[in-house]
Amino acid sequence: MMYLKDKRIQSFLTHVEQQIFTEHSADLIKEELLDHIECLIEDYKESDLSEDEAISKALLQMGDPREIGYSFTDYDAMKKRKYTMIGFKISSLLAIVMTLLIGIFSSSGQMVIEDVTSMIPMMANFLNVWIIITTGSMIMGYSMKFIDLDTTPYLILWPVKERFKWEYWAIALFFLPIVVIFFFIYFYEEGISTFTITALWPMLTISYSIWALVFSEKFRIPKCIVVNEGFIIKGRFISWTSISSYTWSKDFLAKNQEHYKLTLKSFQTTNNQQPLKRVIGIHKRQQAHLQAFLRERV
Amino acid sequence: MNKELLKGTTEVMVLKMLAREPMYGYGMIKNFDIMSKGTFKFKEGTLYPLLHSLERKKYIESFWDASDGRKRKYYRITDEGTKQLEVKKSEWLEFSQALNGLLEF
Repeated sequence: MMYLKDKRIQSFLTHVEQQIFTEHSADLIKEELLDHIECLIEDYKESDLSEDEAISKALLQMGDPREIGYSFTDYDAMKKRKYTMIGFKISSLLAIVMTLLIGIFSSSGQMVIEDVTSMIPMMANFLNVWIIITTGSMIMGYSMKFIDLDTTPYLILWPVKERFKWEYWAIALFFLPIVVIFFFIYFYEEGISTFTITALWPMLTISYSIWALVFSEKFRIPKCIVVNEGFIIKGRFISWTSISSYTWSKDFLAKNQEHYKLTLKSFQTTNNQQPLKRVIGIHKRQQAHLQAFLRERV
Repeated sequence: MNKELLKGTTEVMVLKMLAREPMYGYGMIKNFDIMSKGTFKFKEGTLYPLLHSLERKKYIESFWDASDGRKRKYYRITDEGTKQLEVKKSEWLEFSQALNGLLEF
């Protein structure tokens, strides 16, 4: 760590760090690369270079920090995530089947569909799971199109959670009555016993796991990538030549205010003669790298 | 050395190097250079992502060591990695024998 105070080394490591998705991985990689740089510096000093020259030469030898940082992106893992997503869908369907089975056979193996009231809890949970599947499928459907590309992308744009804080409250308020009614009627009809609690447990666990994983930033498949000829955003190709201009803005409303919004304007126009726009969320750590691409190509 | 020729062989080279003894990144780059008499010059941007990828596949494992006065990340081959090395070695031997046969024909 003896050279960590040098501004050139600090700048190099910051550029590497900006390309790594999680801060924990970035810290470990930085520490490893710093050791590598220090070894290089010591070797150069032994060959009679001054410390200043040795540092410059070591950093030159290391190459482009953004390229090094980005090369840690695990594209193969993203491809494998496709199968995880398919697994989610199968689990979701199983959760629906379980919900139906519990609803139908909950009273000691006897049918309880005698009136509309007894159908409410079953339908409420059916709705819960169905919403999870459809929203999850929408996210995955767009994203999975580029996972099978033959070429390795130049840059994979990490998913950025665009959900506002109040959106979580709105979702909670929307689902809370459904869940409360479900529990109320379920336990009212069946009574609180070990059996009724045990029967509910796997269904809730599966539903929650699917929700958590589908909406988790870490496990989501990115929706945008940069390839040689342009962007692929939600499965649609946008060439460099079709982009007339672009603007950056801070995503102040998003949960993490340090993320950016990139607005791409196209030469194509809408029916109202307005340029077609595409807005994508950009992770704060990737902004500089993407900006370099845009400056070069647009 | 043509980069296309190196593709697909880097994994076996790293596994072979780690089968000899646990090593750290810089040491590996130097050893590759010395042992191949300058033919195999690994770039930092190639070696470290490859090491991390092999670790994810559980072919190698890493550990931090500070025995020589500085904290350093070492890598060593796992049993899984040793098996993979044997598979890759036999694949390579088969391929090189076939290619040699073709070139000498």
